[in-house]
Amino acid sequence: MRVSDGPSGIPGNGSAPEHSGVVRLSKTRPYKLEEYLRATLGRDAWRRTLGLCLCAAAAIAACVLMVYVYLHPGYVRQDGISSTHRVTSPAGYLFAAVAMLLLAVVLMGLAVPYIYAALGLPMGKGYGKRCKRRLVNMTSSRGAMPTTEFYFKRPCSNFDEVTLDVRGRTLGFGDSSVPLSSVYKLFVSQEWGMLVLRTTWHGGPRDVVADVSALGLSEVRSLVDEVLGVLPAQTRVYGISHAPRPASWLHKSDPWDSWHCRKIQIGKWLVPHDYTRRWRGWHLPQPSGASSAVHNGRVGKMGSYEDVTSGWLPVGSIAVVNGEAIMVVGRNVRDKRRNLYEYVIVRYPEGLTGEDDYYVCRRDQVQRVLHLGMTDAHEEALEKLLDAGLSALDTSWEPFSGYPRSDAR
Amino acid sequence: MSKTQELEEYLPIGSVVMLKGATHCVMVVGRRAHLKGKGAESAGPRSEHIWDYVGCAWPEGYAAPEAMILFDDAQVKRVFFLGMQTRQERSFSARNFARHSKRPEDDNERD
Repeated sequence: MRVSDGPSGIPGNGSAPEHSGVVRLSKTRPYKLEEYLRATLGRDAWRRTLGLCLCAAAAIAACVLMVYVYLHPGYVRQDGISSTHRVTSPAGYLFAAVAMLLLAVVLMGLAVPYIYAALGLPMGKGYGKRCKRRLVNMTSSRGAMPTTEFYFKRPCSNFDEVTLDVRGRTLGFGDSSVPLSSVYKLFVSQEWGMLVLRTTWHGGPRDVVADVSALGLSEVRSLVDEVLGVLPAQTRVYGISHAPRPASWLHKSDPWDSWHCRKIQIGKWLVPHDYTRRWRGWHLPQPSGASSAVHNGRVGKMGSYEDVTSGWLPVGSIAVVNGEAIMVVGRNVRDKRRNLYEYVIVRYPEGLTGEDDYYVCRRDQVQRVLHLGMTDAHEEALEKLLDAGLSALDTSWEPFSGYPRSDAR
Repeated sequence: MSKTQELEEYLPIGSVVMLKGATHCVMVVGRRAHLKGKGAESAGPRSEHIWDYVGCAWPEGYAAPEAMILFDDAQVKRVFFLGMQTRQERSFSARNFARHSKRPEDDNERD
């Protein structure tokens, strides 16, 4: 069976704007102070706000002092004749010195992140013990990474080119040119990695990111094996290297900078929330239950994770609910007691196997998303309707004339 | 040659297809289904026919039990999206939906 392009007149799955390719470094800002501070300080945003307010106050005070010094009237001679020259008093010099000192402090405070970034030093050393401790936690949390996150925008069989790029070295798979042990070395070094699956699904290559960072060796190998197992023989694997130190993320040539930008652009469903949590300096315990997972995400106010847990999963998505894989087959339904549920689900991979094999679940019961269903402009429009509180869909139309309906199975 | 024969396996659930003569996409939510209840009564002699797939409208999804669509792989016009295929899914399909596990009368009916 040939997997064809999207339906005529309907933007295909790959036409969504979030499906942009790898963002070129030239199009990205080399360094974003705010993002770094957010990553460094995490939920303590008030510290950042307070720091910025102090810097602003210092700058204003410096300006006021400088203006005062400039407008100082100077000495008055004892003979009663006022001097026509503007002679600055010793207090004026003192004020000027203080003003310049404050201004220098402000400028240095703003320049420190850039200096650290230029030197490749970890930022925690310059931001006090508390920030340093948080960075250490963030570093140590790598060993407790999520183990099963693997995000695909489209099924693997749609990719005709998959390569793995580790720090500039392109490793190929599928054609047996590079053994799987290369992946072993990548993850043994405890560095993070991202798989980028390059596809030509809808004309022109597009990259799709899958987070396989810091997984266990066996899981990584099984994942890669699983990917390659459903890919054509000529497939290759592409990837992006990962900087081991936080300060290296700030470097201009660091590909994670571009990844960070792309993380925003690839869409709300594709961002691995656990990784985002790490990226921003969070070190929350891995939730054991569904409700706690959402609870942690909402308390953390992590944008990407919020998207995962507050947006709508398209039908056909595979997720984990109560530890079991399920597939979303419907949304926004009510049971006989008029309780509203976000999703109608069936078991995966069994699917619909019986008359009463439907299940319903709420959004906060979704523990993790394994696979996203097909999305396009129609899906996005429907999601807006669902967000608007659409309780019942119009099913009065008859697009499937001639096909039997199953009132029961 | 049917599409099942080409693939030698069923489409994974979550796949989005366009059926012949239809104007709306259908998402596969189950495989090897047969009619039951009022639908079977109205189907007559084909009430015992085991359909290859049971699907629902896409992107609307499940709306009601009577809104599910039954169709065979030969009626699939185009495949727009393949559902997630994992090793477990492939083994499950091979174990439960292999072609040899089809009833022989299914092929007789098509002939």
